[in-house]
Amino acid sequence: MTATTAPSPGVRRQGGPGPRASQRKRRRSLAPLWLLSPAGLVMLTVTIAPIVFLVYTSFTDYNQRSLFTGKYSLVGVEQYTDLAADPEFWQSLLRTLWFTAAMVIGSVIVGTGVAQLLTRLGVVLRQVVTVVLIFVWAMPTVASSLVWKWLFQPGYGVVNWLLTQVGVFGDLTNTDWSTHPGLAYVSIWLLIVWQAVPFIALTLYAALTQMPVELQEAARIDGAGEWRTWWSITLPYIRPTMLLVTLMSVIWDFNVFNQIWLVSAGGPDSATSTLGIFAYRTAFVSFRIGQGAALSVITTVILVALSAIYIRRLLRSGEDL
Amino acid sequence: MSTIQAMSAPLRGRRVGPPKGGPLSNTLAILFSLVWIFPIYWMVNTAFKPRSEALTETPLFLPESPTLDNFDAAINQTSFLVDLRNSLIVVGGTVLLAILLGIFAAAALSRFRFRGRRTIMVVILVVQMLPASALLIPTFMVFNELGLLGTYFGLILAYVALVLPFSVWVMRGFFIAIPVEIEEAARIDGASTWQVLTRILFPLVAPGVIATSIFAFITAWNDYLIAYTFMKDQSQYTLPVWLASFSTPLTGTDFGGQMAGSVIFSLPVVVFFLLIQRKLVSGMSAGAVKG
Amino acid sequence: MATVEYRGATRHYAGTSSPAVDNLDLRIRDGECMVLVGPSGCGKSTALRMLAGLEAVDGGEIRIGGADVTHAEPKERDIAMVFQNYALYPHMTVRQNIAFHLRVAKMGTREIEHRVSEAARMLELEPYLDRRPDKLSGGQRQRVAMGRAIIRRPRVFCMDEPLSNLDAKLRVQTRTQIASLQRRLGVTTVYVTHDQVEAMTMGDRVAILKDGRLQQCDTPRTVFDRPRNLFVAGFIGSPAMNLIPLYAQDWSVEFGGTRIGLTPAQRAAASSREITIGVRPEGLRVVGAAQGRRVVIEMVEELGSDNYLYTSADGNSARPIVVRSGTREIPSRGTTIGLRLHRADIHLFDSLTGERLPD
Repeated sequence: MTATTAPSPGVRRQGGPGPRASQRKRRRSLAPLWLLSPAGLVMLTVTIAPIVFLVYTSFTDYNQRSLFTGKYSLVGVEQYTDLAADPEFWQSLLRTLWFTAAMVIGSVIVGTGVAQLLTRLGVVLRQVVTVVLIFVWAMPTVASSLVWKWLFQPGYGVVNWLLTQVGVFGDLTNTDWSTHPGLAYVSIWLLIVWQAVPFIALTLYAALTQMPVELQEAARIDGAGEWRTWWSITLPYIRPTMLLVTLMSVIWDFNVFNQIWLVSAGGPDSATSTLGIFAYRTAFVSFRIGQGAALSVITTVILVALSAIYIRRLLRSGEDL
Repeated sequence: MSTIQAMSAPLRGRRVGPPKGGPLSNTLAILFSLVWIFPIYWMVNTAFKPRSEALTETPLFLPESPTLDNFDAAINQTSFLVDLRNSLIVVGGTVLLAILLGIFAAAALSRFRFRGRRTIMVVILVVQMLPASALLIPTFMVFNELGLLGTYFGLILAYVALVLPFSVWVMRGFFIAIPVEIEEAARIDGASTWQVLTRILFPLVAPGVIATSIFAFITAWNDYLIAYTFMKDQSQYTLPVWLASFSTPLTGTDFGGQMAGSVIFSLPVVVFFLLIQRKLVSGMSAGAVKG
Repeated sequence: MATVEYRGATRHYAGTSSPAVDNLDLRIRDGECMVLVGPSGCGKSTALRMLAGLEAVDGGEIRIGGADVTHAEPKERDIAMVFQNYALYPHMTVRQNIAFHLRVAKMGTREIEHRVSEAARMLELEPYLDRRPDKLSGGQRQRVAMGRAIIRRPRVFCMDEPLSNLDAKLRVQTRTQIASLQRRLGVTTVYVTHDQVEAMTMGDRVAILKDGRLQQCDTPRTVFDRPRNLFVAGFIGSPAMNLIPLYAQDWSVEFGGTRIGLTPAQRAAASSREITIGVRPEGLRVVGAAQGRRVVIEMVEELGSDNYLYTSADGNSARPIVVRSGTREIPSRGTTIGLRLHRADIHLFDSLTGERLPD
């Protein structure tokens, strides 16, 4: 302990010996319990209990009938072995993985570019771009999904019309994006990237504005060109933020549900069906709830594994938990 | 336009950096803005078009005879008002509960040291990562058991659980940033524990409260999946479900109405974002430095 | 107004081997300004925080105005505190900051109004009353912190390095302001600092602490003239006192031709013949190389009014002997000179125990 720095509050809060001091100690140590319990109760009923229940359910044959009768039986790992034998599961898993990769790469690259662009704009244009980003960021996914369907509508969709005018792809006027596996995915990919860029760009831009000018000036004086400065100075400076943004994108994009559900509902013919869509269909359309639970367990395990990287980083960054 | 000016705040300081406003940068910026704003422009454009202008072979880039008919139709749609009311109740409940529970938990996790604190922090981090869609099934079943399906309270609880980890995390950060001496000064000034909390600490966590309410608002206002799954019929649905129901086969071709509905639904969020954008950007820069 | 008394007060942090404050006995008179001084980690801030009630007391007791407050809450002690970082409430204006205690104490609005304007006038804060702390300069913030303390008319002021965040010039200016304010108000004050100059100028008495233990407590003059041990001798005064360890062959020590015999009392007090003589830079005289202790000048520090020569004997420059020399004819670096003692300025210490030997 140094006399000039205040010791951490907790150390101080542990009272010393003597009747009154120990009395105070006991009263103080109960305060966090009271403060935590309401939030803890909610998390317990709405998150922790369901997770336990989820794992349990994945070992049962819970189905539509069980919802009303409450009757179901334990079937061991049958749901998991069934899934392992189901080619649709493997297809969904692979699809989810590469959809996620494509979305993350697209949005991080565009987002980084826009962040960099923002640092090179005059006041007016920077404000214009920022307002555009904020508008897009604010758009609720349900609304943007509807807009997307309208943009890509066969016959009257403005994107179809624009692409036809460009003339490279031939006449696309009546192309139905939602019935063509590849095109359905392209339109969803565009939607996700469109929505994800604002957050990534603004976060990275915020990180860039924090960068001391002296760093770049020093690099200039050391004779580095613009590209070199960006590569050796700017990029390392924003790398932690980029990593964070990328990890969050991975988690979000892995979980994309609304956009796919509303734009293509996983179609055509499951061509855009990810694990989330597959689980939802299994549980709430065909009401094989046990199997849906098994799917959700698998999804959760994958995600926790992914986020473990992020959490380890946070723990290691030395932040006092 | 004061909010827009406020946006340039992070740049007001000395910053020379790369040359600004080069022709290449400007062209790219304009191009990007056009592409990115286009879907929103098209939504608004369509919303004001009469049906005959929405469905034309060559799209009209401005309505020739602007009309409010689509908005009229959307609002008069069955259950708009009911669903709006549902949305407001659920959003209000979520925001209030998230702030209240979050601020107490954050105070506990930042101002006190006790056993299990670190574990709780890690659990919060992990829970934050869990996909809502994975929790949907078991929460549905638990709520089914507890009779919470089809109730406002159940829906609010579900949203609060989604928002809480984030809000505890954010507000805890603000608590930690308050020097202990300020708390001590207040105690010496004669403030009771409750007064220290309410008159000193809570006001200083206000930015965190704002961040939490934004996040809670947006989560509850925008959610489609949980509301659609947990609520039983149109009289219980919230606005996103109402909006999505426009695209059923029955109304599937009423694009004007859909776009008008989308505008109505998006408007509060967009206005909200524009109002708070300064905090948004500065909050992110704070996060950026830490990340 | 009140006396303050530490009786064997002890603070021991969990997980540390020695107490942060060890069995502290200190009586502070009514209206007195007592300065606690020492190097960082000496326990001076902890001692102050124990008085304020921010730190638990693990042993002994603390009394204010004769009443035992050892385990009382801070608010029950009727004390005011100025923190090193001021700890102003960032979301309140200057006015609200100053008035916070009175509001919590539910005083009438008019009385609050009156007291705030009185304090603001005293501290020249009137133009800033409606500003927030982040819009104030460092000196203004310091004055707000002072205002928050004096408006309470408390029994005791606790000041924890209140000047350390100011720049050098402002620090000297504010130092005199606080001192005169304290005398005018006559409030018992405990003032913590690591700066011995501040301690000497501010305190009616100075208490020097090291490793949680009280080393000496006396008036600045006495502490300077008769340091009780080697630590105090080396800590008080700038540049520090020269401490030269010697061996007392037949109970006398010799330096630069001056021989000092130990008195019978001193002989009785010494634990061995290892004796350290202490002499302040002004207690040495520069003479010709042959007439005193031969030393080489390693560095010359010219401060205008005073000049200090850093010299080394026998090529040992790790522990230089510092001499004050007159403003005229300053010898240059590298010259060999002789040093002689002024007999009146000699302090003798037991090298092993560090204690001062009786005069």
